[in-house]
Amino acid sequence: MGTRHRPPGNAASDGPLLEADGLEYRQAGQPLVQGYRLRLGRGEIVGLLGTNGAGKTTTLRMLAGVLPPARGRVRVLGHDLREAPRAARQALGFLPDRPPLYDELTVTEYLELAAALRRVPRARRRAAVAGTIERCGLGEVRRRLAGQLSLGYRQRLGLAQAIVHQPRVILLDEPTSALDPAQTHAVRELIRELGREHAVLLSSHLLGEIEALCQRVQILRQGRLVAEHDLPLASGGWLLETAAPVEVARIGAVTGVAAVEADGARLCLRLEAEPERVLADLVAAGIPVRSFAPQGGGLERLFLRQALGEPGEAGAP
Amino acid sequence: MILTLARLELQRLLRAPLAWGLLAALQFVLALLFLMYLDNFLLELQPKLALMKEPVGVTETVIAPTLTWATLLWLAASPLLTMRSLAEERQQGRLDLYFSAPLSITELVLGKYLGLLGFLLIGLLLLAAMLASLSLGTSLDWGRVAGGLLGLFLAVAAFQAAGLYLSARLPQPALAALLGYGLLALLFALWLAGRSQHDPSALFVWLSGVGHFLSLAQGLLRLSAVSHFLLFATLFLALTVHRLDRERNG
Repeated sequence: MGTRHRPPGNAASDGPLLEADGLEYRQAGQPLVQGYRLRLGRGEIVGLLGTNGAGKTTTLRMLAGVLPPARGRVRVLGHDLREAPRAARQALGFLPDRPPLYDELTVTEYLELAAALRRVPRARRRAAVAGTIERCGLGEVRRRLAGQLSLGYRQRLGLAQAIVHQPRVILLDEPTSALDPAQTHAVRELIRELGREHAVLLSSHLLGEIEALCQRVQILRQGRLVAEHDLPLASGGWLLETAAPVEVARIGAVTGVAAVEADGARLCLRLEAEPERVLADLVAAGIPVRSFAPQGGGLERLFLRQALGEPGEAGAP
Repeated sequence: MILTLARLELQRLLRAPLAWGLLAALQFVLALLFLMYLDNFLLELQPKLALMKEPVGVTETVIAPTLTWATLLWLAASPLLTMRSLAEERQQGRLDLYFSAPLSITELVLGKYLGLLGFLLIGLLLLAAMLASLSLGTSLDWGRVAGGLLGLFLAVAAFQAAGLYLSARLPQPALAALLGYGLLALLFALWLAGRSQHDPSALFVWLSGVGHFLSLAQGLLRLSAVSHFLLFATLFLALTVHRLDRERNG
């Protein structure tokens, strides 16, 4: 089954590149984020999901070393952000919710600045910038001023500054917000590619984005980490397609099927036994099964329940 | 790293219409004042020089007052230059770029400050070229000219350090500029109050620094004046570093 609950803070397969423990941030005495934990490994893309104001940006800014946590610690490649700030920050790339661009600099000038700030050695800087420009699809605008770029290119340039020094850990705050579908697709492809070699934590309030990109999701609610799940998630329901029309009652009579509901041409089954066993019983009962798969939309249900506090359905994670 | 940041700051200033406009306006006004003092020297003072016991030269009558005005005008222009340095970075969310990078706050502040000083140096070179043009017709007291230019540089540089601090403290550039003008007014008010005939205060005059820059503009390079401005600049740079460091590291 696609759904498996895991406690917050599970380690990645080959040791965490980014670790956070008990992070807390307060503003005017009020906690905005409390008890945040994370272990992020190489090759992982983890989504940070929450409604507006849930604390996603604050969390990412603490992880990036931009905001000081009132409590807790962040370690990047084993370097404590407070005790070894330079080494820790060297391994981080951060795209804030608003790309931190200089409108008066050209794309190339800006990336050269970003590379210098991230201490890419002078001899390697030009190659690093050229490689990043190509990777982020900025070639045709490399001599344009950032202030003249479209929203999509600005976002890509923001992403480019976060990866120009090839950091092991990449933090992205709403990387596709305000992009059109084509731009969104291009940026997602880039993030997916980055996720193969690096560790990526991205925040979003777009469920589709998290489902499309991430292997794991964390859900924040009012500054607290309320859930952490592997993806994809199933909703708990299973979709059955048959080669020929079948009476609903025949399917309902099969052992292990708790309920059946018609969903257009397909049937939605709620199970009370292992799906493999139910499938075998369906076939044994002479049902002409064409496909039998978990129903999508699990993340949406989880989000509604965990992030908004709406009551869940039985069988959902 | 500091030089990279300084170059960026200077590059930004040189690409901003506001900074260019200020530089042009300052140079224009100073050229008018310079010509006015020169005219005055040629028409009023020169015919009388032979009759004077201690004849004055162009250095005292043209260059010194021009430098005094130049200092005043640069002081007045400074809040418009320094307001952007950090307040605009914060407003545009660009402090995140620096705070997340492996660089220290001291490097950031010194880089920004050196960039501002670079722009001041460009203005100073233009002014120096204008003043040096007098040497085509007469001989100048180069020591006093250089002393006056150094005085201008020190006074404005010190005030720009205060402007940088305000820019670090405030969320909006306009607010930083406004408070910069408030500080300038306060310094002059202190100076005036300190020189009041009823209740003079040497402390107020010293604190204001105005007397120092007036003496420096005359080309009188005094250690007390130089150390005053160096102290002033160091204090505000340290405060700027402290402020940003608290914001980043708690």
